[in-house]
Amino acid sequence: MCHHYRLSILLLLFSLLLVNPLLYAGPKEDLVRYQGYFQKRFSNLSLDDLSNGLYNFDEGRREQWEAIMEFPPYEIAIEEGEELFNKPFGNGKRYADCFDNGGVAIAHTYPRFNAKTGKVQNISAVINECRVANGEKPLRYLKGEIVKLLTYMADTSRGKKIDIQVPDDPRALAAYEDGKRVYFTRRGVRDFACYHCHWEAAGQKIRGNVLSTAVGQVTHFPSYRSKWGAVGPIQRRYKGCMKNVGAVPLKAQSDAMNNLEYFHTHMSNGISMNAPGTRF
Amino acid sequence: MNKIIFCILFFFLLLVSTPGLSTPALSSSEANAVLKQAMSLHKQAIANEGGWRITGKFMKKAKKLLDKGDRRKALDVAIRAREFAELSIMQADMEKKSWSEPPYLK
Repeated sequence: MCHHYRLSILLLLFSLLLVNPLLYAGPKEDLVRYQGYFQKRFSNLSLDDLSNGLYNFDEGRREQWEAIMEFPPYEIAIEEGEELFNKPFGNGKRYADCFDNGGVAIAHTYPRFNAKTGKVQNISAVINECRVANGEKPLRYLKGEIVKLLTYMADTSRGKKIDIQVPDDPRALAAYEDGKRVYFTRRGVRDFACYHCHWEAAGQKIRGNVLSTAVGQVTHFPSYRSKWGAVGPIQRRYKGCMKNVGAVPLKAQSDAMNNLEYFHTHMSNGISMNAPGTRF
Repeated sequence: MNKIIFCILFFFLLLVSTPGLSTPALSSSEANAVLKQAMSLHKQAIANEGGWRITGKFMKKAKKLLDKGDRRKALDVAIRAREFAELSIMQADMEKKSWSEPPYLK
């Protein structure tokens, strides 16, 4: 009798595991939970509104931002980026030859999982891969020429909805899960994880800064930041955040950093790109 | 007689209150050894994605003090740096094992 009882419990548990997808939270379920959290908490804001970050919560700064956006400081970077993008390499090929759709209106689909390498790649990595394949030296990440290229490419995706795919490949899922780990890991002497500021404290102040919501953050990157006096990519911003909590920042383009970008960008799936953007 | 006792006491107090004389001299190798330990642990923490910036700051400070010849202070600061490095490793190890989403997301 007891034996049958145990067996039936085991069978029940096993069948629940098979039929109930909610028992395993994958990227799709995560997206519903993450976006749902902010939709519930800030019910007066649409998902697209979340891409306006701190300007949803500070009227004065929003006014200043709207004034800045009349003559956006990133416009020169777009122009220079377009020029660089169309300039042929020494062998006559161009960046457009390395990207699908000639590199136009694709930024909202990056970072992507590369099945050949089994790793996540953002646009910066593909730009440098393209340069090396065409006999050019790779560019340094985070500043300079590469950011201008990113700025132009992001501008061609303006208005498109973020669309990060986690393909049916265990390596892709592992990369996504690793990004989640990096995101929710406490670091630095202040013992903060990303979520401490951008989930529970979103919309509140930390010193003089108003904190934006985690969902919608990536949509305006690369962004011109007054603090930088230049346009910069999201990984530069991650490094700044890590420094703020007293951590030695992870290396740009490391697996951990790329996986973090993959996970964090996926969180904003379905939200319109408004990059390049400007922030204080 | 009293004057003699007073003088002996005075010199004894002077001796005790002068750090260089009352405590055995520190060699730079002691501070250097602690600093090396701190550096090695800090490297380990960074490799584990868990380095703290304050560790680096304290290591730099200890090195500066050593260069200046202030061995005692250098040793104190190097010890703090080593403590920070140890704590950062502990944090990284703990987080690797037990990081989680906040309860309100579950």
